[in-house]
Amino acid sequence: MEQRLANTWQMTVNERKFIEMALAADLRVDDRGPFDYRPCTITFGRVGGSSEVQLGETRVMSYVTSQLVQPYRDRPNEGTLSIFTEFSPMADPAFEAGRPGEFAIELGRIVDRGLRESGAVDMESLCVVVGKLVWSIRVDLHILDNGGNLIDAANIAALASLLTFRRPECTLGGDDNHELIIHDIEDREPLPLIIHHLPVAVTFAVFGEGNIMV
Amino acid sequence: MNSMPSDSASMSFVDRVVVPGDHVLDLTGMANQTIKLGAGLRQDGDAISVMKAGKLRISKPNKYWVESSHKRYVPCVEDTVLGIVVDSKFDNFLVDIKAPMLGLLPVLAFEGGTRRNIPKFEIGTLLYVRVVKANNTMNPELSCMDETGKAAEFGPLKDGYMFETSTGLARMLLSSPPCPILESLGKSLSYEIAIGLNGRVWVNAASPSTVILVSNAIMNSEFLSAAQQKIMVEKLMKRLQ
Repeated sequence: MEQRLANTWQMTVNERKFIEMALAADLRVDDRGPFDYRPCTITFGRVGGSSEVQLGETRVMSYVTSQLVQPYRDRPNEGTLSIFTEFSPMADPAFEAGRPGEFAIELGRIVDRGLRESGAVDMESLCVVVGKLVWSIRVDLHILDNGGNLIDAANIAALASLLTFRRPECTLGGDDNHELIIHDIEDREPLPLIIHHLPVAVTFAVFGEGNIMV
Repeated sequence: MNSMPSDSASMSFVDRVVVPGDHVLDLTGMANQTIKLGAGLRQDGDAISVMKAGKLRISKPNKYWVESSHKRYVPCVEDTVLGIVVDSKFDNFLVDIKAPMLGLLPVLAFEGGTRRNIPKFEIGTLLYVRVVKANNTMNPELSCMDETGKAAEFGPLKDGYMFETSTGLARMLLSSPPCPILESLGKSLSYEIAIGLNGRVWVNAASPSTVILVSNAIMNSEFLSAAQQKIMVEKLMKRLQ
């Protein structure tokens, strides 16, 4: 059935020709140099673990929560980290509510691989009782406004919220030293995650026959 | 001092921001007059109340309407808009005009158009068209001719650069007397510009840097006053030299 509704963005022939012509003269359409970033603002929430990143017109919000779960069988002494993305329809008319589309899943996996494979977040410090209880860290990324370069903005948001996240301290106590006590944040200062380094994503675009890059 | 307006209650709301629920006109004192209501206003018994947030405008003697600025466009008959060709069918081109539904441009709606000389537009062509029919149940119908059947300036636009803005900025750019930003830019640069009431603007000039300067200046001028727009253009010109 032909498409009678207009909800995707179209590019004109004029724009395509003009952008390539301007890039040949090292000009970008919003007056930036080829390697300039748009101004980036990071805002933190009052509660640790939440951040909002604004990169030009793009806005991404990130929220970190934690839960005690059973570890995976093959890694009994490591915590887990999972990234969930949500592409809100208010960000772009092409996004649909409900199940994440292909790009949403790809973005989640890029951020996830960047954090997991580089070993940025220390997993072994999240272990409480080997083989029985570990902390599971969940990062939720909400795209609020799509102004381009979602991957970089989402990555910065995830890093910012992971850096400010605090988890409650828990110790083994009780009568037989086997009972797990999760301390209230009023009793004991909550602990930050151990982050070894910060993997930052930088996106490049290649135009022409591979000879122009921004 | 000017003569006192007959309906002093509504004069206090004209050219001011109103929100849904405001009663802007009291009809009890106006027994034998006809008032024409435009967009965003509704009659509620003895009062006229607002349905859409925006600025209340009046066109003497008796037309009232609410003007607001959006990023999406609601098609109206006789509007001139910029559309992008999405597909071509046997008797229509499907054209995207930033409305909820795609517009239909009949292949014969061109000056001297017959079945033998149907124009070939590739996908992504930018067109300057006029809205002929618009209601919210059917796809809007477009045309590349004016009422007399002449081409006027309608048709495809070549080269240049197109960007999207809100409908309020497009209306400001099209106002007469000419908008201060276009005038001050025109004093030092030469460019051509096509403005669609659906919030799309096309700019063309000899060099890409002029096009980029003009388009960024226009995008930044939406909320500036006339004096601020002139100052911004002066600063941009100084930076060029």
